[in-house]
Amino acid sequence: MLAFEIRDLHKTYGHEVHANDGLDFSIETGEVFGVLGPNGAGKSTLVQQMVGLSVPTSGEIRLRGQPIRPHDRRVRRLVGYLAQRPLALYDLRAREAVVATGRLRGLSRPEAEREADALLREIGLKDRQDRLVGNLSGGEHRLVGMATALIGSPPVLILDEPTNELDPVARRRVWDMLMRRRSEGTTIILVTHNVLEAERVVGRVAIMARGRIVAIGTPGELKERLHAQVRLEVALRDGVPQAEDWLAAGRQIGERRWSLTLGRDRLGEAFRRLADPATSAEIDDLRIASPSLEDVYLAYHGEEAREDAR
Amino acid sequence: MRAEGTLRAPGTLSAFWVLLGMQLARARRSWRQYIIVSSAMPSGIAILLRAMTSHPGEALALQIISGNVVLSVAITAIAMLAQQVAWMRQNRTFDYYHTLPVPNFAVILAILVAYLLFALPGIAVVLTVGALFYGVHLVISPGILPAILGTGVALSGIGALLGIASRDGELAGLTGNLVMMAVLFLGIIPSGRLPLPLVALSDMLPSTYGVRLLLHLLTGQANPYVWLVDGLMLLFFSVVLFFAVERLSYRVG
Repeated sequence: MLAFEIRDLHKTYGHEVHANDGLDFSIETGEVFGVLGPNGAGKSTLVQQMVGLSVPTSGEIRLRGQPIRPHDRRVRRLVGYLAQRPLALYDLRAREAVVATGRLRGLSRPEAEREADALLREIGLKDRQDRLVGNLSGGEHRLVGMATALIGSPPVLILDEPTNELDPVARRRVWDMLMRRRSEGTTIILVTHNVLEAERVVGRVAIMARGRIVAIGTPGELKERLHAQVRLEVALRDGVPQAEDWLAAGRQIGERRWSLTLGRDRLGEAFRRLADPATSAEIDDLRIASPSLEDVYLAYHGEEAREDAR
Repeated sequence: MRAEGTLRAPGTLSAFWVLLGMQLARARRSWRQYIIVSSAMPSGIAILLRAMTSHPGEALALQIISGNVVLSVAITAIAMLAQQVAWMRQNRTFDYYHTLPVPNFAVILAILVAYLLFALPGIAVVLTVGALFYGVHLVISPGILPAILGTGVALSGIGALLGIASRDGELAGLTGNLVMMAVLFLGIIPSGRLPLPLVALSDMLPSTYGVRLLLHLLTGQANPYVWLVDGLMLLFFSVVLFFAVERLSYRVG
């Protein structure tokens, strides 16, 4: 059964801004679906319509087969939503915020308290649960928001940038939590620009740019399109005066680090150069990788940027 | 997959209590401000007017005290709430409530009632100051509570509407203060001394009925006619303003 069907969705602000420009895709129940794209691509506009906070200019969104209406009560029961800035909880203690949200989802007080305690432990905030949310750091504030989205175990989660502002440990914890929810059959829609991390969790992704979907598929399918390519990353030792020309032709990604995207047919030639004793003595670090989801993302947005330049 | 029937939503009343608790939590950081702001100006005005009149009669004294009690409500319910609502809209704070399975009128009622409750310490201070400086005997009857409740919901309805209509918190603060001034003038000056256009304006403000009802109650009179007319007017304003706020805060872009 389809969790969401989005049909020819347009959202226009005024006459000028086409925030969503003909989106058409669906999300299966139990799927983890990533929505990737740069700032201003229309990702938040899309999810706000999916939770009924905003009405499409034209087109339709269906949740479990039924069209959603503005402020739809059914959507509010089925979907846990993490907004970009959960400010409503500012004056509450962290645990109170999670318990209150659970009760507003219809849990009894004891149920809400039990679930809140489990979630705070899982998310790593147990020792800070009595702090006022407004006194927590930006990252901790988001973790509280995350716990409020998860309490009551809604079968669909829509999370807008869940790992923004988080430190690496907290990020890891959030992704682990999402993977556990995935294995329990929760449908998860993730809006993010953290492509590298999303790749571990998502089943399918849509890459958005300027209100449209420029690519959609599993990370594997999208990478397939760059299949004939390999990424070679070379770092040179301290004191090496300059990179050889063939290396310097690549993208410089660090002080002494270059990245080259090569056709597979040119790999042999590159290896011969690297194997040269003079060259290999200069090399500090060497990586060869097949393209990542990030490369796919950059490839699409590279095209966008070139179009803009024209 | 979870059947939709197993997913719950809270009862309206229990949602209201949770939401009211969340709103009252605001006092944790700002209770000092609420007490000072809601008591300083109305008590100050009561004291000032006492200092400028040599022998205020009991009728005038009670008018001044009732007017300042309502001013105390107007400060939190109009000026502060207008700013708060404008800020909540600007920051999309309502999105949190509008994505949970709770009725919007429980959300709005909780906000309006919370800002009315924030005025209670100020009201107590104004009544005490009034009794002390004017030497009048105030009858504290149980009817005062519903009178303040009705006045408070109606005034916080005005505050919330100003907040919804303003593009940002600064503008809301400004218009809130202007409306509060109107409430102050029209509430304290007896309507017999007002020019006709202002009488008409004062008839359109719920605070007028609140002051009248309060005046009536504080003198210990129990004229059922006054009760009925002013009480019904307050009820009318509360209901109309409440539903206006409920609808308008719920519009989607």
